[in-house]
Amino acid sequence: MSHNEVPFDELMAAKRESRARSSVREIRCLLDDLHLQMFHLMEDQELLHLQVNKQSCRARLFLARTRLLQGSERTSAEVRLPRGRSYKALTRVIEVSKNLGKALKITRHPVEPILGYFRPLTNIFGSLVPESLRLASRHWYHCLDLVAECANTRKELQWTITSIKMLQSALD
Amino acid sequence: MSMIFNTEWGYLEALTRGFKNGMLKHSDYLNLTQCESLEDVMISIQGTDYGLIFGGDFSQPSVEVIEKALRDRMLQQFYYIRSHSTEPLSTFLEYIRYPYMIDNVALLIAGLNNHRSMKRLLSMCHPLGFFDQLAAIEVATNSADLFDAILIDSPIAQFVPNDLPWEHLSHIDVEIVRATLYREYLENFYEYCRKLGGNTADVMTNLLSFEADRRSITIAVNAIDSDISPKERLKMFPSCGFLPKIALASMSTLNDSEKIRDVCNMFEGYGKMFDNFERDTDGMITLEDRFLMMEAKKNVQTFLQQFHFGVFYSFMKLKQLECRNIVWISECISQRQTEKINAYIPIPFD
Repeated sequence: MSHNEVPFDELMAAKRESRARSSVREIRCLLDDLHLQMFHLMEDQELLHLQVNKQSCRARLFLARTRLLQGSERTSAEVRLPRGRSYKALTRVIEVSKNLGKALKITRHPVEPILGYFRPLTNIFGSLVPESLRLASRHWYHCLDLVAECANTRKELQWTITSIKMLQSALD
Repeated sequence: MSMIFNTEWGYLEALTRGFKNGMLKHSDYLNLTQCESLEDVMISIQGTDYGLIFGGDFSQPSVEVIEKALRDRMLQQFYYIRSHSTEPLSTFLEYIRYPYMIDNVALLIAGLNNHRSMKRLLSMCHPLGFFDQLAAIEVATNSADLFDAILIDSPIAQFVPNDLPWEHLSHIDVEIVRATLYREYLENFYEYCRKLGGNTADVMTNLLSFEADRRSITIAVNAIDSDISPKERLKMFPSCGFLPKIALASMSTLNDSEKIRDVCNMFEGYGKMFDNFERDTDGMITLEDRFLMMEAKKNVQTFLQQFHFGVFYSFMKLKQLECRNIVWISECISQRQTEKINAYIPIPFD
């Protein structure tokens, strides 16, 4: 054997080592990407929290406005909320399958009084709903969409954190 | 007329003007809007003509406590005037109470339809709207009994139209019942004031006509895209306003606020009520706010004339508005949303 020829075992070992180094590099790159994604999701979640807070605060202020214009007695939810007369909810939360598992989705059924799907605002407060109450209702409506989005972002964030932990344990 | 008026009601008019002079001015509102907590609000209120309405107890500051104390003071002032009045002022003052009675009855109907306990509902009623038969409503098990057994002997029975189907009350929208009763009340009150004659008739017919128009326009706008038929809407519009019958008939058929605005523009210039304020970026100031501002202005102008009953009516309206303004300021502070704290309805005394 010539002294320039590398033994076969050593060659295989070198190849294995090179492949291992390359997969560690890939795992580390993936970890970096996941960390970045985690920070983006955390930022999105905080923004969504802020938006939910803003919308609900605005809606509460419009409710206070309704009390200013009409007095507390006329718009008391305690008196108006129906009991013993059930009606079907227009808005439902369902789970749909997505790439990363289940996600929440808001669906809205069209108003159909014959089938028991009433418009909540007029069903509870009567047909002559003041504008401020309608505006409050719209803000709460938007709040529901934001809350669902917030829940989905949180799920994705949890999945990302779990993946980071798995990859870190693989590296160790 | 002025000498006769002063003999009977001069003291009460002077007292009412004194009450009105004690109402909050712009500087008082400034102090309130700068408060950082509800305790500060209560202390500021006690520094005004309200005095020690909280009894020095600030242990549980809340918007409800403030609202109740303000309302009790207003009741105290009204009942003092009422107990010292003679006819026809006594009847006039009863007419001021009837809207509160109508609201209480509507509240009880809504509560009965939703199977709420009567005891709880009665505690939520406005004290100015209490009448003897209200306590007896507890025996009514459904809204049909409510009329047959109770309301038929009550002061507001005169405002119940013959075609209102009380036996099917649980299926009728409470707001339609309220609006129908209120329409009858307003027209009845208008006729009563007109018959009184003199300055009272001049002042009150002006105020009540504005109130009638305001009701009609507000109902027309709020009923947009609702299931209420044009015929039912027209039944709710009081006819004693400045708007002619043709305008009311036209508004009852419209389902667009721009078209309602066009109708209002043609008569009495109410169209400018639909304009948005430039500084109002959130849409917080609605049509009802603008009508309230105009109502406040008209009620303040009532005090420019003497020897009429309009001062009592206007004082109660302005006092109620003041209470609601203070509650609004308290709510903004309580919710920590002070950027809109100055959006109360100003009362232009200055």
